[in-house]
Order: sequence, then structure tokens, then C-alpha cells
Amino acid sequence: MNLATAYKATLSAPAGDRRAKAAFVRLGLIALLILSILLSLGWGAAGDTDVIGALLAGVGIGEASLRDMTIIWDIRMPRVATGVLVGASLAVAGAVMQGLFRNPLADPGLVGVSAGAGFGAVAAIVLGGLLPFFILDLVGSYLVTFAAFLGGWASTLLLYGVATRGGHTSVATMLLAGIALGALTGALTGFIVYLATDDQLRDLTFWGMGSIAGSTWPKFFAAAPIIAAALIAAPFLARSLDALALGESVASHIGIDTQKMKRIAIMTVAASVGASVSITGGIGFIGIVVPHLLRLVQGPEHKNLLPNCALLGAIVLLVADMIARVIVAPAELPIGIITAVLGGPFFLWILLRNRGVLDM
Amino acid sequence: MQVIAKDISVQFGGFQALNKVSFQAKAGTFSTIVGPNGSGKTTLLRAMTGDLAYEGDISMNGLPARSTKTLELAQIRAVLPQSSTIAFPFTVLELVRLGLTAGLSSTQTDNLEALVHLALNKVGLSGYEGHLVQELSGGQRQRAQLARVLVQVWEPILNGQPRWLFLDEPVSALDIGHQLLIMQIAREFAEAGGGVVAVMHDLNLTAMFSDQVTLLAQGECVASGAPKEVLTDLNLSTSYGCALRTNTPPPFEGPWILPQAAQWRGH
Repeated sequence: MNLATAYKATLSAPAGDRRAKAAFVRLGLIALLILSILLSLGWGAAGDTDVIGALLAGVGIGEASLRDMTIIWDIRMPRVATGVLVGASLAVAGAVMQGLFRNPLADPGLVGVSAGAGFGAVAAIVLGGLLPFFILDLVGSYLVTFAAFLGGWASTLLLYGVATRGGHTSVATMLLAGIALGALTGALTGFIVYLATDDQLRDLTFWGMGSIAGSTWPKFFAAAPIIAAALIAAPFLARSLDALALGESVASHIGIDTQKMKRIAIMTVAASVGASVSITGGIGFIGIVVPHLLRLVQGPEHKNLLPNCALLGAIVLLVADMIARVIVAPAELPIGIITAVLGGPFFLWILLRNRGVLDM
Repeated sequence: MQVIAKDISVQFGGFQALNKVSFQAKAGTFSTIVGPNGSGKTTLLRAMTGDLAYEGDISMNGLPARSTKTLELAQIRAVLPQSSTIAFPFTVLELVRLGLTAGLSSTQTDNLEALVHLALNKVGLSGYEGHLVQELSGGQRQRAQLARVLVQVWEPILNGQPRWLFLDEPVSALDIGHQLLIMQIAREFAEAGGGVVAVMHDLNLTAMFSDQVTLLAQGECVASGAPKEVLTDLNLSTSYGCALRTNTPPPFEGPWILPQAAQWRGH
């Protein structure tokens, strides 16, 4: 199906049926994603790079200079690949969390994944040097990544344990416990930051604001399987998330095993956000703004929402990264600053425009 | 085929909301639970729909409710709650589609999408498909939810098994015209072989549409049987704590309940 036929389908769709619209949006987003990937690959400090030539040479068609091959395949490609993966992961995790908490303002940050991962990373940066040598040898340069992932998972499991009683997980308790745990990890993080040296402080600042500048293939491949698994699992939650919009009780009346789906949703989010935060640091707002925007355009049915969130999340992260690269060139801003500067006002604007629609 | 609830007790904290109440509903009939506020009627319904923990046993078409899978139950019974909210801006069409979550095995129709439109037509909401649920009035919202419930158990009998509608105060938000419409839809469902279990406040609608009435007060069953036997002056006045008198005006055969309170306009 091409864009024109997809657009025609939206015109003949029955009233209230926004599936054709979602299909049209998806095609548009795929085109935009390809464009952003190419732009992102072509945009850099080293000019005159033959992007297309190097890309084709990489898959065995034609030839390109060693310089171009290195720039495209070893420097820019891991960065772009990381951007796509993490952008998709954050947006999908946001949509799943919002569906689970039945609240358009929910964010992976709420279930303590981000706070826990942040604590893990900060602890690794500051205290990592104190670990015995054999552990440092084992994890090598992945220490921060590994600690962040572990921190994210541990805090999620803890919250899940606190909120689950007699086989029933209370979403409200989990939300409140997440706030408490966030405050606690925040304090612990603050204490460790207090201990940090000046050099470590700079690392911490950059980590906290998020960046995909330091992306490498090994880091990418460390996180990719986890995030990919979560992205593949997410669409299977679509029907349950739709049903959950009616509340847990009604969801079970129409045939959803709500306890099972809550468990899967929480673990999916914890794994994918933990893995994302661990390789790029904290990047805010994508998880809230992207699903929200798409819901306004194509409606809240998750079967179409989740894949489109993945596409738009990837696009937004790539675009934010391009802005981060040019705005103070030749230096680079942390990407978290860009997403917050763009996302904050944009989100407020959405809220103001749609006050009536948001009321539940 | 029946819904059988045996010796159901429910406690909220230290409060005994239901005390060994038994209830039976036969397929092909309209059974109504009535009683004053706090008598436990919604609690009894919520126990039967699996929404709260209870002591005692509940079975549906012979299946024990506690140990039957969520999906399997969803294929034989649908539930209309007292009020429901929906998170996110779903359209009416998308809301009603959610009733089809239990899937193809829960209907004989090939064209599931057509069911959605039939149900909306039945509750008088044709033409509202594209409206957001949040934009509807309270009564329209309740009818849209009823359409969602109806598509879930569209055939009153499927594969020889009767299916069930559990309705918690289905008409409390509706004007009198729509009250009758909804009661008639439920009545038709029962006459086609399905079972209806409803919690009601309106005693006259109850008397008009029910085959069987169960009267609860203070968590206990006061009486159960045909409307004429249960809705008597004595039963009602003691249970509701106010003077009520029943009457049977022709041509209507059932009891007609009139409040006989001490003071009203003109007295």
C-alpha cells in the first residue's frame, strides 16, 4: 500500500473507525524515519562524505573510500542505530505505562525504572573504582551500563513486590511506592554525587542529561536484544491495554487476565527502559509526548498506537540528536536538554488545546 | 442451565455486607435483585461477576466461577457495571468493539464489525459511532456501555449454552423512554433463552419486567420468588423502612408500588 491509497482509505473509513488513519500515519512515519536516518548519517563534522556510496559498499554494492566507510559504519551508524532503538523503546514504554496506569501522564520514570537505573549508574561512576579488580575486568567498560540496568530492574521488582498482595497488584500502590522509592534513590544518588570528584561530576552531569554521542557497536549490541524483545512483546499487550482503559474490573469481565498482563507489561517496560537508560542516560519527555500526540491523531487503540510510537519515538530522538549536534557546533549538547526544551512547551500546548478531551 | 450462588458471605473490614445469601437464576428468565441502599444487592452481583472475594460457592452453567478461566467466563456472561469510566479518547465505535475482546469463539457471526453497528442501533445510538465517549451525556454513555456488553454475548444461546447478562442498575441514569428501551432489550434477551440478572432501584420497572425478584435487606435475603409474592406491603415497608403500598391497577397484572409517606405536597 502506498501513501496515496492509504490516504484514500482514511476518507472511506466508517465513522469512528480510525484504523485506516493509523495505517496512513504509519506509512508517513516510515518515510520520515528513513529520511531522518539518512540525514543523521550524512550530518557530521567530517564534510564531503559519500553517505549513499558508503552505505551501498557496506552491503557489497560498489566501493567507497576507507575514510567514508569508517565515518559511516563505525562512527555514525552505531549512533543512529542507538538513537532509533532507544527512541522507539522510550516511546513504546511510555505508551504501555500510560495504558497500564490509565493515565496519559504516566511515564516509565514513575515505576522507578529511571530512578533506579540512574542510581545504579551514578554509583558505578563514583564508586566503581572501589570494586575488586576481577569484577572490573569482567564487566570492563560496561560497568555503568550494567549497573544502570541492574538498578532499574531491582527497583521495579521491589515496587512490584510492595504493590502485590494475595496475587493482586495494585496499580495505585505501585505509583505511590514509585514516588517514595524515587525520593529515596534521589537522596542516595545525591549523597554519592556529594562524594564525587570534579571529573566524576562532569561524567554524572552528562549521564543525567542523556546522550547518544558515545554510542558504539558493543554498547548497542549489549542493549539491542533486550529492547528488541520488549518491542516485539509489546504489541501482544495491545488488546489487554485497550481493555484496561475501561478499568481492571471491566477488563476482566471482557476476558482479560489482568494480573498476568500487568506482570508482563511491567517487566517489559522495566527491561526496555533499563536497557535504554543504561546506554544513553536519562532522556525525558519522549515517553510522554510521542504516545500522547499519536493518540490525538489516530486514537488510543494500542494495536496501532504501539508500532507508530516506536516509529515516531525513533524519529524524534534522531531529530533531537541532530539539533544537539548543530546548536553549539562544533561542541554537542546532551540530547536530554533538547528533548526537554522541545517536549516541555509542546506538552503544555497539547494540554491547553485539549483540556476537554483529557478529562476522564 | 442456571446461575447458582450458595451461602454467599462477604465482609468489608469488620462489616458483614452479605450473610449467607443464596440466589438462583434460570436461563430464559429475568431475575432482579432489589433492596434499600447498603442492603448488599450490588455486593451480591459483584460476587457473581468475580469482582470481590466471597465465601460460599457460585456456579454458572455448571462451571465453578472461582476456578473457571477469565476468558471462558467472558464467553458466557457479560457485565454492565453501575458506572464506568474510560481512560483515553476512544470513539463510541472503538468502545463497543472492546466488547469483542473475547473473540470469535464468543459469537457465531462472521462479521464482527456488523455486530457493533447492530448493537448501537439497538440502544438507539446509531450515528454516534464517531463521537468520543467523553463527549456523550451520562445516559448516552450508559447506553454505549450497554452496546459493548451486548456484542459480547450477542446470541442469547450459543452452542446449546445459555449466556448471561449481569446488569447493575442499568437504567438509573436514563430518562423514562430509554429506561423502557433498555428493559425491553434485556427482556428480549431472556425470552430468547439467555439469562438476565439485574440489580434495580425502580420497583415498578422491576415488577413489570422480572420473572423473579430477590429482596435483600441488611445483607440478608428477605424474600425471593415471583414479583407478586415478594413485592408485598409488609416486605417492602419493613425492608425500606417507610410506608409503601402495592396495588394492581388493570390491565397490568403485577404489583404497582406507591409511596405512602406521611407528608407530600398538599398534605
